[in-house]
Amino acid sequence: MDLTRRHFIRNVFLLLAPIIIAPRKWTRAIRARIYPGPVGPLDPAQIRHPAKWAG
Amino acid sequence: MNVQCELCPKACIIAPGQSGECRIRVNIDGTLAAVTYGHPCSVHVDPVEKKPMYHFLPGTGILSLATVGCNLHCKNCQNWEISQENPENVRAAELPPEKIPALAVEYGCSSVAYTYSEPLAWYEYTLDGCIRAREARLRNVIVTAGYANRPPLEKLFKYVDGANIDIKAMSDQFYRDVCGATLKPVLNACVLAKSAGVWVELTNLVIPTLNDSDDDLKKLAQWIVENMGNDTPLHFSRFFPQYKMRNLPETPADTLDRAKQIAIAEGIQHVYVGNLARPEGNNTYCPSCNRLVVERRGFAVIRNEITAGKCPACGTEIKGIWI
Repeated sequence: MDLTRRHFIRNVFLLLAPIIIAPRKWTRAIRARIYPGPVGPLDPAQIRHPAKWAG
Repeated sequence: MNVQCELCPKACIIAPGQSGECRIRVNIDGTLAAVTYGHPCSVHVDPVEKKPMYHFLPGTGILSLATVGCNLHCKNCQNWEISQENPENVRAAELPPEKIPALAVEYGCSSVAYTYSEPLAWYEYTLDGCIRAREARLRNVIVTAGYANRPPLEKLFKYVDGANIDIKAMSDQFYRDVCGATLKPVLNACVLAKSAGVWVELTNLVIPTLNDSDDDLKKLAQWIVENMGNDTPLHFSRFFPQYKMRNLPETPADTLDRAKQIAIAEGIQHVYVGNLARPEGNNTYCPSCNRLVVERRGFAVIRNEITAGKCPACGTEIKGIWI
């Protein structure tokens, strides 16, 4: 079967679709400098005491 | 545009404005961002024995920090208020990695622990903290579930001195049902850490009816002996009902004693019992002559007779990082 222009464009699109649609992959994230929650100062009194958390 | 995070085996595909399962790796305008970077919600000086690390600078304090976030969702999580919470709801302090070494020194610590939640989920902060601490001749410890892909772990382990890795069970089904994860990557992380020269201690939280059969405990001990070596310390920890697992009772003391006996019978030299007062549960004995070499009460070291990493009586090397 002859390759028409229509078929050619379709094939090119099918070939590139995974690259265009696929999400960009990241192993390491960029370091965001803005924390989305409330931020306060370090509390020296708290630091001196062992945490209530396990580990 | 969606992004895919390749830090851990979950490989979350994240839509703009959304986060991965860990809640802290966010797609901001098509870029994956670590939003808790440099903002720990917990900073404390703990005894290193609390991690637990028993063969790592015993009797010393360790600067311990965490941001919110975890890529596992264990129904029995002890620290769920920070591990399973959104950063928007938790107050944090500003502590960029470059300031960690000075803070550790200020509080008399010779090591830094990345702990409490999941340091692999806040990977970039852990990595940069480890690099800065190493530059300042401090030691680094991670306390982790070990659920990450090999390339980021390989990079991180270059800067890590000690790790306590939690093997939650030797059953993939347990990991899927209780933690929302899988077993194999965790075991791979343990082996990788050991092969990278990291001092590894292992923890197993023993939960009644879920992972406390003789077969479960034997499988764990056998895997450790075959893959990590029988000189790898194993900490059995007592379960307490909390978070989404309040239907089970706390682990009976007898169960922990049985776990310890099984592990010893399989050949593990150093087996400890945590979250439970046992007169001899926390002491370290020489594997050759059985002399008491480190005596502990709770997290306190009463005496440490290990000399240059050896038993003072017979000279047998006791594996660990002692000075």
